[in-house]
Amino acid sequence: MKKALLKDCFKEIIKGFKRFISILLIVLLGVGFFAGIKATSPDMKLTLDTYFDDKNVMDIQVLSTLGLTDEDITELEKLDLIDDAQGTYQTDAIVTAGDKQVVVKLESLASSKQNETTDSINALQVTDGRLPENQNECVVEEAFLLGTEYKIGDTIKIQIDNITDDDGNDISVLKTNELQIVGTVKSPMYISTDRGTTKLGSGVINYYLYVSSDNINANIYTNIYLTVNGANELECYDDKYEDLIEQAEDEIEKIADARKEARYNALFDKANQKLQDAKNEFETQKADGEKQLQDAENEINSAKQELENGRTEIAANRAKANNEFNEAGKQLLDAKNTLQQNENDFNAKKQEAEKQISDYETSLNELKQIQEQYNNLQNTLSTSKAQLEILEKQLEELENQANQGRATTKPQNVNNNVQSQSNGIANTTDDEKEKIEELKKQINELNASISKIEAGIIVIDKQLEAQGITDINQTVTYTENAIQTAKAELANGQKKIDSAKAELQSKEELLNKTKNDTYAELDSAEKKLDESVKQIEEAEAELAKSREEFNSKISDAEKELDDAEEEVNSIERPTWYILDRQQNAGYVSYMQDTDRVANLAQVFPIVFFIVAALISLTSMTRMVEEQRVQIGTLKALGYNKLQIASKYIIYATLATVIGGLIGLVIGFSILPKVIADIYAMVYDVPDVILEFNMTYATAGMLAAMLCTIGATVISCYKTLKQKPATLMRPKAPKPGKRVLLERITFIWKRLNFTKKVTARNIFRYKKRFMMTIIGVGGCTALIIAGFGLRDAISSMIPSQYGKIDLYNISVTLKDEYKNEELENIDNILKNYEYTEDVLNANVQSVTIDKNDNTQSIQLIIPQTPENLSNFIVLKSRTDNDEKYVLDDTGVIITEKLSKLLDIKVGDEIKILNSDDKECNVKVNAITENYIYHYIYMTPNLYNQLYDTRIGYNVVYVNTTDMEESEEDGFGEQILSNGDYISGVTFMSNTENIFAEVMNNMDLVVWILIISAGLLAFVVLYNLLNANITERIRELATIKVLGFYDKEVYDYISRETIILTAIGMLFGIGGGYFLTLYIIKTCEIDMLMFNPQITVWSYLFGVIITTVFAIIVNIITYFSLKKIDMIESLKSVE
Amino acid sequence: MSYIEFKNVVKEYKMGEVSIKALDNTNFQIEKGELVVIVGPSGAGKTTALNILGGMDTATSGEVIIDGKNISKFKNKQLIKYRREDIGFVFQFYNLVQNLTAIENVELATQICKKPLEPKEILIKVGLGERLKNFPSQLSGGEQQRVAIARAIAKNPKLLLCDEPTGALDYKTGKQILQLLQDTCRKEKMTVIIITHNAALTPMADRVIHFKNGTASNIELNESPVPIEKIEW
Repeated sequence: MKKALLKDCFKEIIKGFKRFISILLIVLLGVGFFAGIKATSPDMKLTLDTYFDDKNVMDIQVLSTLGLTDEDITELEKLDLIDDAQGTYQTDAIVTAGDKQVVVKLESLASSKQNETTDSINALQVTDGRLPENQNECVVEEAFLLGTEYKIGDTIKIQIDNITDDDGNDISVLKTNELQIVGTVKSPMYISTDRGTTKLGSGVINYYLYVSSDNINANIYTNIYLTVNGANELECYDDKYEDLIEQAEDEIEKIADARKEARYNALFDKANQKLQDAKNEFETQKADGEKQLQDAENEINSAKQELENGRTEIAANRAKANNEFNEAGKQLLDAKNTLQQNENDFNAKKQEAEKQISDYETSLNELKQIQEQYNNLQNTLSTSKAQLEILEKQLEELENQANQGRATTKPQNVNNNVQSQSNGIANTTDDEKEKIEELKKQINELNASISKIEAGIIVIDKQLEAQGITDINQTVTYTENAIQTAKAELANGQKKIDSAKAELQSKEELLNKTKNDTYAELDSAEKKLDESVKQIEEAEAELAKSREEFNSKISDAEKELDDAEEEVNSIERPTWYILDRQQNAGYVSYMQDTDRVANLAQVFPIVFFIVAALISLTSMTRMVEEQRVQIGTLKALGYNKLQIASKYIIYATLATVIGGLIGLVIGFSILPKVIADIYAMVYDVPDVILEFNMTYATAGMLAAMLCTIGATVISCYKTLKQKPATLMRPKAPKPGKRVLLERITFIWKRLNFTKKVTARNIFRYKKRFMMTIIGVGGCTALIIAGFGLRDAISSMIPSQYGKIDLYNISVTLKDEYKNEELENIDNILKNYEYTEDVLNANVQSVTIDKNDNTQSIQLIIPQTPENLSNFIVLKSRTDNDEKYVLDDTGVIITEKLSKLLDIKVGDEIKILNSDDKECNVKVNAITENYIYHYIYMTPNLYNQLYDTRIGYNVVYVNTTDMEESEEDGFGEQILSNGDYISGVTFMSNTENIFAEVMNNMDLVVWILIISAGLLAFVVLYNLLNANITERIRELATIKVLGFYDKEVYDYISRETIILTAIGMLFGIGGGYFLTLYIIKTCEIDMLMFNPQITVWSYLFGVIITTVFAIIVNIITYFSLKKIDMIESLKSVE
Repeated sequence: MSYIEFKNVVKEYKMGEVSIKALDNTNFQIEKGELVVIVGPSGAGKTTALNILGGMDTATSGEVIIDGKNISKFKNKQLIKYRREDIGFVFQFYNLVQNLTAIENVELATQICKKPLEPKEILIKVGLGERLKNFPSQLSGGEQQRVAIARAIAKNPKLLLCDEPTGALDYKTGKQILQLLQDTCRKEKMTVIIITHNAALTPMADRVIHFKNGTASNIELNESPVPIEKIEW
């Protein structure tokens, strides 16, 4: 290139600085935006890849339905492609924090190298404190501390269901369930907030928690993490990485069967061994038992035999005894007879003797009688004599006394007796006389009797003498003796007989006694035997019972054995799940989100690029055309085409390269950072790694160059084709043409002249027309999209929490409750003054799998579907009056879910509930919803489908208006009913959390708006420049014709205004679709942005574009004023 | 006092340090209804004089009086009004708006005038009654210049200024155009000033002003102008 030309080129830049800058700027915007937004996704992916490499995140993990062993690890490590294998134990656990329960994913730190964090797979990032060093320590994620209000150093208690170990024993998973929190960590395995689902609690895992592997009781692993050789060197989103992983997975598959078989065999053998042992044990015990029973039976039988023997013996004895006693009885009877004989004899003798005796005695008695009479007479005689003496004496005395007179008053003692005997006599002398008389009479009488007696005695003596008896007394004595002797003899005989009798008696008695004793003995023996019989019977009954028991036990045991055997036989062969990172929810959704950014990067830069291309094309074309004379001159001077064109190419290249480079620097450093920062709110990943992405830098630059340089070359080529002479002359103006509108005469006629001119001009410059519409339209569309996105995001929360979820509090219960318990809970809640209404619901996590797209959804089953509308509004998004009512014929699902899984009203969906039961159900309606996915179902339908009777685990509460401070208090009050309630969530809190996230998304919107504004400005300014320079002769002419400045301005700006207006119209339409597209690509599965763009957004789009248009128009006005008529009217030199 | 008077008009262009006098103390008069030809070599200042006369440029010093009004004192807006109402301008390259038909190009001028002539009539007068609705690109150079003349005349101006009206035309067509201008002057009693470097045209004028080195060197009055068809060059 010639020096002069180069110089000219630089001068051109300085001279036409505005043009240069405008090309530079549009390239800057285009390239910067393109490269920046394009690089965002790779940058984010790179960040994750680096993070994963850094943390040695597993490439593959193996899970087995029967657990994994150290042997598996060893075998896996032997594989060529496997770098390292580490086992870990994972389970879901419940931690009670204050009044609420949270579900944690508990995982043991990778087995061996827990302290060298860098070497362990899925290394944890310790954010505070340290890793667990012994079995009673744990680390948690930071959110756990925030959510539970525990601090490092606190001890938590963990509840985990027991498991069955390899030996079939029930063991606890952890050695100790009381763990001290020693630090907080970040796990690369959980970069999203999704922690997965569980069968515990509310069905959602809230946090993760790591314990030392020392604390794991189980001797198996649930997961083995694997790293693949050479995988770290590859980028994990790269196909090469996926190929490598696939290869590694194939390798694993190859050994998997053997390992599964080994594991199965080990378990089977163990179980079988155990079963055999049990069987053996059973057999021994059975034999033992049977033997014992047999023994017992034998014993009973021998006892019975013995009894029988006893009985025989007793019978024999009894017979013998009977004989003997009979004999003895007979002898005794003989003896008795003899004795009787003797006695009879004796009695006969005795009778005789007794008669003799009686005779004796009679005579004796006679004697005695006589003797007595005699004696009596004698006695009477003596007595009478004695009496006579006394009487005589008394008489004497009395006579004495009477003689003496009464010299003494007192009788003398000696005469007391007499005195007393003759009491009356003594006292009166008269009487005494009488008495004496009497006495004298008596004495006489007595003397008479004595005489008589003495006469009697003589009679008797005489009699006795007659009988020969001399001495009565002697005879009496003699007789008496004879009697005595007879009697004695008799007595003796009697005595003998008596003694014989007694002897016999005693003998009999003895016999009887012996007999009695013997029989008693026999009886007692018999009784004993009877008792034995009873005992034997009892024993037999017992034996029968034992046998029965034994049999039932045996059959039980047999059944158990059968079961056990069946169990052993039914030990399923393990299934291995070989999962790679594609199965990590956080990883996948992060990758999906980066892909969304990439999608976004497909559209936005295109708008910018089209505009940039158009602008540089028009600018360069104009520049070349403006300089056609110069080009002609140079050509005439003999420069070749390339030399001439090189000036413009250099010009364009410089503008492009400078603009592009600045754009790249800005784009690469700002956009990925801003966008990644937004995602960082959702994902726990390190700061984004900004990279100068050569691919996109090159692509952006090349595209920009293609536009500008291409445009330059094309215009140069067109110009250079012409002869120098032609070039020297002014360019033949573009011929005028009738426009379509003119054919619609009824409109055309009504237009005034200037409008006609405008109309024709608008359609005359098609390039400009397109550029304006695309530029202005793009700008408006981008601004609308920006605001629309903001609308979509920001209206989502008020819509969700203000119009759909009307309830204020969601109270989570500790379990599913029914009937009275549920009523109790409701009553407790209803009694608070804030409470207006309550609704019980069963809320559970379910999944729908359709076309390989699995979505986890909250299934809400209101106890009273008819009341649901007071708590959750089910309605169409587009028609507020179209409300949906739940009934037993089907379910209502939320809108985003229907979009994600392509479900329409009337379709059947398969819902997998939390108990892994899958049922088909019809979709009755699709309801408006923005956050999460829900399925609404009536309890009847659920019970019917899943064949159950559900309880309710959530209570929605409507309250009166409350201050935030009141809410806290109220929440505590509710929680204080700790028996049932595990958590209280105020919708206002949820709303705030979401609102915060959403506020940050405004940033994206502002980026959009600012870049759109810049774009609009650049476009319009260029448009102005083009319009003026291209039509300068025309403008000069009308100025010469005497158009006022305003008229000139109107002449040209009317076109601009109309074009801008048309552009805006297109922009509004475009904005609508662009917003929808962005929403579609940006929105995450869990959310549905509200696609309703408010009028304000359109208005802002229009207003902001108008403002830019006005600014540009003001500039136009002054530029027009400056047009020099003379210069422009001169024929081109 | 003449209808148009140029008194000591100086037009100086400052190019940095250097100042070039395009007009140096120029004086001439023109009477109403005259057909004037300004003739001279390139750079003599005739176009500058015409521009000043047409209100497109202002004199650095001196007076330009047209119909009693000193336009050299006019402000921009007055100048526009002057151009709008009093001046008709015919350019060497016609300067028709390409996007407008013949009649529309005329209308472009008439719509801003107070008492314009009927565009259609004018076009018929200039002999383009058949081409009213043709776009400039569909017309020959002569026809385009006729449209340009019609546009200038339709405004019913006091002064018709023509800058090399035949410069881009062939001999025959040029002649016809000159004829038209002469006819216009005679029939409409319009003052017509034609700039040309072709001295052969001078016989057709009532007054010929010779320009040389930035000043009107010689003014001659032609008692009996020759009809254009009689002039050969």
